[in-house]
Amino acid sequence: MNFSVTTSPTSSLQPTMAALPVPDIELSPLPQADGSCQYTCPTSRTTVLTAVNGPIEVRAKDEQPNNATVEVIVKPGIGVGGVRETRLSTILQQTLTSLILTAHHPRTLIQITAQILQSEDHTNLSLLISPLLNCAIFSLLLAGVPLRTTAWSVHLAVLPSDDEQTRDDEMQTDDTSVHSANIVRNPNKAQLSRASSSHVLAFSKEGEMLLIESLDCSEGVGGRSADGQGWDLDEWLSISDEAQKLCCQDGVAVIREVLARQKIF
Amino acid sequence: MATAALILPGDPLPQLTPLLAGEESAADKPKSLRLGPGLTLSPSTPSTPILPYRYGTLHTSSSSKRSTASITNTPAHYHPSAQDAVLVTLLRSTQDGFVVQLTPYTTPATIPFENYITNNAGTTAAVRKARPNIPIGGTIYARVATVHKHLETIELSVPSTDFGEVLSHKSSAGSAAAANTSQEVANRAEVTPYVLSISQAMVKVLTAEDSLGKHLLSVVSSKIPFEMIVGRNGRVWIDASTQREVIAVVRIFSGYDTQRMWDDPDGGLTRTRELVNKICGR
Repeated sequence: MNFSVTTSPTSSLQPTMAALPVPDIELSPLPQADGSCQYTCPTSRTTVLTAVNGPIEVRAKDEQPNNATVEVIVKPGIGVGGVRETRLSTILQQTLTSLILTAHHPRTLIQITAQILQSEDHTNLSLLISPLLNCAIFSLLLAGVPLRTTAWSVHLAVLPSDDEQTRDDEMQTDDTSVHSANIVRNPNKAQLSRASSSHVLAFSKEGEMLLIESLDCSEGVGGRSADGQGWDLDEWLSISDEAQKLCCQDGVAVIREVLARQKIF
Repeated sequence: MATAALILPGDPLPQLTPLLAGEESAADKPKSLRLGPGLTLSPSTPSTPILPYRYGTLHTSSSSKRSTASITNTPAHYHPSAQDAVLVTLLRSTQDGFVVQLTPYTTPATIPFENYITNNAGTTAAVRKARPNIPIGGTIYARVATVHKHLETIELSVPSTDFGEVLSHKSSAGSAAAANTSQEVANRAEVTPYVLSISQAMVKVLTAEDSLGKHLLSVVSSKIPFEMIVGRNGRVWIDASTQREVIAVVRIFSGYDTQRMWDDPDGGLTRTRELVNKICGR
């Protein structure tokens, strides 16, 4: 493939780990919720608001004898909720349940409510998942819900190397591009529309993979690889390594920095 | 202001290793470490058998008997834990005990009569004659006795005469649970104490006597003498000699709380002085 994340001499011009543009995060904007957070993605300007309440009383049909029930409600930015929001809430629910120590609060409910406030494209799931997940993790931390570990997610898009606008983007948003010009971190709608594939990945602090949402982008020039997915395995593995580095180092550093803003008694 | 390192859930805790190891020559059996709130044992990760499950700062105390470690932070809402001193409101009484409100957002807690000690001889309220006559809505200073995740209700106790129904000291010279309570209330010169709801962070400020609470309280008490009881569940009982002074003290503390003055570099003492002068009129 025409793709390289390797440490080639040209890429060493940029720092190999350009600092992750720090997202705009407001902690506890909702006074009544146990934990809440508003998160704006630094590059795609997707803004979401999440609130966590729990442990609270659970409906009898959802009650689990030895575990807490985790419920995720996603409210769309436009219109009424539908299949798309259900899909989002399923992704979030599965990822967050793997972080929460549900055995600590049996027969209770941990309710996570997410509201999409602003997005360049409300129909595009891959622009929404990463902000929603990161925001929900902050809310869970603030609510004091027992967590096994913390996690971070990142959205990477692969642009075709012959894309003439890639160069321009690199000039405009200097720190958004990772050390390869082909991978764009947290792409905006325009960048995503030219991408051959987009990957939302989440990793725990220890580096376990928690979420893979890889998509072939039909608008780009995907589908050229042998398996017709827009990427081949080597390429995907290097993206995954890249995402793991971003999540485990920069992402966790962001969590620590943001939480240290509040005074801890 | 946070000088101690921030611990995230799942962080390894090498700081605890000396507490666990101890001096092997001194005792044959391994030293025991009591895990406070925020820490749990995790069998799945053998490298770090002690797992922090929420964010905060690590606090350790190595007393001669038993060393303890916990992760402290300030949650938005009160989570009861055993031995917390709380201020509760009486909702109703049943045959077995008082049903009280601990926080507005949880199911009511109970104080069984056999856990309610009414005098220094250790008499409990289990006997009907010794039962204190507390009006509905009365405030009781109690202690959390048992919290268990598999039990529905939280049990409280009144372990000594220092606890119990909260009345003004001016009126109740001696035992608060005297029979002629109504008469005493009438003699209180029309001053009603105030029960103020405060945030969990404010509770930490007021109970951290050595660092912040002492300075804050002395700033206020230099202008207005007052009495206060702090419940860990976010309720403060405030009394002073006149109703005007009660309201002034309440306004000072609620102002300190809502403006989050403890985040100031000096702990909000300068702004508190301004607030005190504004409310007291000079």
